Formats: sequence, structure tokens, C-alpha cells
Amino acid sequence: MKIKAKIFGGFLTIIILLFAGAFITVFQFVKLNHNNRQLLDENKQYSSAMYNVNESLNLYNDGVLSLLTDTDRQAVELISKADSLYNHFVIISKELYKTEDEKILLKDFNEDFQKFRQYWVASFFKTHDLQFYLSTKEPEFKILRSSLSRLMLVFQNKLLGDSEALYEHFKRALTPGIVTIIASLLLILMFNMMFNRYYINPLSRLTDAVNKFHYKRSFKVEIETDDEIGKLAKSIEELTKLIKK
Amino acid sequence: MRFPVIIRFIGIIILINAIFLFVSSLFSMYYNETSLIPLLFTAIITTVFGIFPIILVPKQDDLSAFEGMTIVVGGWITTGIVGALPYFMWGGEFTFVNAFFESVSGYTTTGASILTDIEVLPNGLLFWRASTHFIGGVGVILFALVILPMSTGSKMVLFNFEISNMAKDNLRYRTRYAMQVILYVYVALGLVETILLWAGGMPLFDSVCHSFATISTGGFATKNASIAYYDSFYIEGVIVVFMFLSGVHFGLLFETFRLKRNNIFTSPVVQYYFFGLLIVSVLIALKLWISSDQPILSALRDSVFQTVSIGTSTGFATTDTNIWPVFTQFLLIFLSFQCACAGSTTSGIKVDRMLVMFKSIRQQIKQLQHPNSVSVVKIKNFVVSNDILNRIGVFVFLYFVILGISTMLISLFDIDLMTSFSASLATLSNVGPGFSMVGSVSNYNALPDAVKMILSVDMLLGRLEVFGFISLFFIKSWK
Repeated sequence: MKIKAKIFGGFLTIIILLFAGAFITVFQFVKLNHNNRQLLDENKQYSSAMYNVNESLNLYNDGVLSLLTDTDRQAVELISKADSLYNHFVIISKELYKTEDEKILLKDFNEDFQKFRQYWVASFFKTHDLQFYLSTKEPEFKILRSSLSRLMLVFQNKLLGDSEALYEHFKRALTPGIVTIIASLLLILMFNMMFNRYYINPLSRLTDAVNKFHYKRSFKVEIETDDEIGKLAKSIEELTKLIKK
Repeated sequence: MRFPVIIRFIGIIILINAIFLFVSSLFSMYYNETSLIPLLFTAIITTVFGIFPIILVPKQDDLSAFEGMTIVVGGWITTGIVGALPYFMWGGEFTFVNAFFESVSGYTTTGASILTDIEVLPNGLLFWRASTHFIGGVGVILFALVILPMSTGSKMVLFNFEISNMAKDNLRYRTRYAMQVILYVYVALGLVETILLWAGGMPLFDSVCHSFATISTGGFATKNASIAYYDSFYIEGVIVVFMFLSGVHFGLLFETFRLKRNNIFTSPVVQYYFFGLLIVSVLIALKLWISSDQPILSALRDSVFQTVSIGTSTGFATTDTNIWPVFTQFLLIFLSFQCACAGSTTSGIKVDRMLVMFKSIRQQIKQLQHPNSVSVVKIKNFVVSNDILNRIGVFVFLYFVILGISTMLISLFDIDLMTSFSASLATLSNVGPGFSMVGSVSNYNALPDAVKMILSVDMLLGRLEVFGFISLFFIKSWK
């Protein structure tokens, strides 16, 4: 193989490695960015869903208190606002809770919520029975709160799992880059060592041998390669033989 | 010493790994797994590092003995690092030390794992894990030499350091032919076992992985419960037969297949190996039957599997030997020292050496009784010279010295004696499972990183038959 082809081959392998490393690193980081954005969006949606459901519960409470103080119109407004917030929560939560287990939990919560609303908000509208309200509010509210806590816990665990997966992904994205840098450095060192041994040193030996020929009248040099340097050495040897004649 | 020439040979060795890495990445691609990029990228790196010195360094036909030795040892260490890259890049439980341990364990066919949950690994990585056994089993170097056309001189030097001296003595073929025989037997055993396991109801993917792990006497399974997962008498039976065959001298297996006179039925070494395993299996089964309320047939099934698994240095498990009686554990420890025949893929002291040593005890006693008589140690018609006896003695002594040093170093980390000793033994003999913390159904994950590195060195020492590795670091003149 010619020296030019060898050097080109050497550089080509380094370039292939760098290109592969860079491509994989960029590809992984783009994917990571996408996953990160998805996680942030989910987190945002979750915050929004939780805000809606909490606010909706507070508004129902306010609505009932308004009824007690005989301001029916304000109470209706508050409760319809609470209904709208709850409906918003229902839409968002459908996208957040995707697995079968999560869907069951969400369904349980929604049933508890409907029960809670029917049982004392709607009933109280009809009856205005303060005693009934006070005796049923606490236990119903507790059931609903614990149902909501379970729902929150599921999502928090999911977020935690997603964050860990993101960290794993980050490591996976970073390692090819580090490995490429180390591998390229090693290849460059090897290139330097091999280039010195098979191309620079033979040239120095050849120069020394030619210089020695001036006074020793003998030309002897060992070249391991069969490339241009090897051919040059052979040609010089032939030339020295001619000169000696 | 010519470093570029050494790098050129190591480059060829790691190119073999690149082929298996590409195949593993095809599995990842097929199953659409997260291991695709780690496997593919490592395949690219290994190809680049393999081709680079081939382009720049001219072909060399002559190798000095020391260069040959450096290539073999360097080849094992380099492949260990290369094999760790896919694990490390994939992440999970694999820190760099864990990945290196798993990789060295794979190549040296030890089968000791750091994984607490094997089943979370993608199929691509599981195949790569089994491939390291397959490559390591026949010896990375040997593999490269058969496939790549090189001069006979270079091959001889590399072959001398790769193959155990005992195996070479028995193999009486020309080097090239001997290497081909090893490879033919290896691949044939693997193919037949895969078909038999598949026919027994094991999925094809698992059959290939388990067959790689059996014929290389490695022991990496694809399930957390190892072979116990399948709970099949047929599958256990097939694996027992192939574990046993993989422990026999491959040259003898080849001769048996060709219906030659020098076969496994006439070899005293194989007879000792077979009856040794049989007696130990029966003794363990009886002890289990007497000590517990386990029925005799079930005890026999467990004892045969575990005895052959440990006795051939494979390390598959069907039961937890940690809860077995001490007597049975002692027998398994003895088998971990002995392992199987030279010329197979096993490590340890080897049956051949044990047989010579037992026979030399008888010869020494005879010599004491009749000081003027001339007695020799004979294996079949082959007279074992004093020179060989001395070498075996030194080897066994060195083996125990290394075992002692390793146990001592591990106990420095406040690890109990049984764990320290059995982990050292299981890695030095390339068996895999030990006792206590590293039992047959446990793993090496809980051990400190420094201990994992000590055990990795043990595995390499065991695989290279101690001398190859040590002489490289204690040689006086670096030419």
C-alpha cells in the first residue's frame, strides 16, 4: 500500500470514529431534549390539574357557605365555576393517567367526587339543612381527600420514575461523547507512534546511511515496509552499487 | 519489543468482537431496544481500532516469545475493556467497574454476575453477554488465528501461550489442524445443543444464549432463576450432558466422533473425570436425602445438575446450594479446585493434573517402600517425566498461593471468610458461583469495587493458567 493511501486510511478511520461519536451524541441529546420537554409539559399539566381540582373543592365550600348566608346567586356562580374547574381537571387528567391501574384510580376519584357533589352540595341546595351538612361534610370530604392523595402519589411516583429515566438517558447521551474523545486521543497517539516508527525513522536511517556512504563506501539500511520508502531505499542501494563500480 | 506489531495483533483480536457486536445490535434493532446505540457504537469503535493498525503497521511474520505472550495477555485485557463498553454505555446497574467485571467474567467464561435483575436487560445486551462466553470459551486469540491467514511461525508462538501445556501434549496434531479441530467441535456442540434445547420448548433466543454459556462452560443465564426458571427435566438433562461434554478434551471428542481408538471411552483422564462427578453426585444426593426430607429422585436431580455445573466450571443453578449441608458444600469446593479436562474450555487445576498428582502419591509411597526400585508415573502408555511432575507441583502451589493472597486481600474489606475464600476460588477457577454472599442464587453486586477488581484479576489469572499472566509482569528483560 502506498504511503498516501495509508495516511488517508488512518485519517479516515479517525474521521469515521469522530463522525459516529458526534452523530450519536447529537442524536441522543436531541432525543433527551424531546423527552425533557415532554416531562416538563406533563409536570405543567399535572400542576394545572391539581390546581383545578383543589380550587374546585374550595369553591364548592365557598358556595355552600354563601348559601348559608342566603346569597343564593353568588353561591350558584361559585358552584358553576367550581364545576367548570372540575371539568377542566377531568379533561387534563385523562391525558395524564394512561395505564390501566392509573385509569382505575382516576375513575375511583371521579366517582368519589360525583358522590361528594351530589351528596351534600346538591342536597344542601334543596334542603338548606345545616345539621345534615355539618354531619356529612367531614367524612365525605375525608374520603375525597384520601382518594385525591392516592391519585397525586401515583403521578408523583411516575414523575420520579421519569426523572430517573431521564438521568439514565442523560448518562447514555453523554458517555458516547466521552468515549469518542478518549478513543480519538488514543488513535492519534497510535498514529503518531506508528508514523514515527514506519515513516519518519526509516527516512532518518536512510539519510544516515547515505551520509555514511560518503566515507564508508558501503550502504546498508533495513526498511520494514514495502512502500515508497522501501522502494527509495532499494533505488539508493542500486545507485550506490553503480557508483562503487 | 515492537508495540505497533502487538497493537496490530490485538486489533485483529478485537475485530472478532466487532462481528458479534454487530450481530447483537441487529437483535437490538429487531426488538427496538435502548441497547442499540451502545452496541452499535462499540461495534464501530472496535472496527476502527481493529482496522487502524492493519492499515498503518506492515504485516509481520516473526514474533518473539515475549511478544506472543504480551499479545495474549494484552488481548484478554483489551477485550475485557471493549466488552464492558456496551454495558457501561447502557447504564442501569453497570458502573464502569461493574461493567468491566461482567465483561471479564463473560470472556473468561466464569459466569459471575453483578446483576440483581437479569431480566431487565434488553435482548441485544443478553446476546452480547452470551457472545462474550462464546468468544472467550475458545479463546479470543485462538479464534483470530484460525480465521485469519497468518504465517505458521506467528501462530505457533501465540498458540503456545494460549493453550494449556497439558492440552498441547495430548493434542499431537499440527498447530493449524489442532486449532481447526477445537473450533469444529466447539461450533458443532453449540449447534446441536441449541437445536435440542429449542426442541425441548425453550425459546430459540434463550436456547442460543444458554448453548453459548454451556459449551464455553460459562454460566450466564437469561433469567434471574437461571435454569430453574424452566423447571424442565429434559432441559436440565440436555444441559448436564453438554456441560459434561464441554469439559472433555476437544481433540478426544473429535477422535471419538471419527471412531478412532484414542477416544473418550479409553482415556483414563475422562474415566477419572466421569466417575469423579458420578461419585460426588451420588454422595451429595444421599446426604441431601438423609439430612432433609427431600425425596431421593429430586435430591439426585439437584445434585447431578449442581455437581456437573460446578465440576465443569459452568455455574448454572437449579437450586440454592447455600442452604445445603456443609459436607456437600465441601465436595463442591473440591470440584471448584479440580474442574474438568485440559483441552476443553474449563479452567481450574484440571482433572489431568489431579490424576497425575494422585498417581504420583502412589509412586512416592512405592519409592519409599523400595528405595532402590525404579517407578514412574504413567497415564495410559504415556510416562509422565519428572520435569512435568515438577511443573504440575509448581503450578498447583502457585494456584494456592494466589488463592491465599486473593482471599487475604478480600478479607481486608471486612468480608466474611467463606465469601472471601469462595469468591476467590470461584473466580480463579472460572466457576462463577461460590457460597455465602456469592452463592448460586446470589450475585457479586454487593461487594466493594476494589474487591470486584481483585476478582477480575483472579478471573484473568485463572483463564491464562496463572503463568502466562504472571510471567509478563515479572520478566527481567524487555527486549
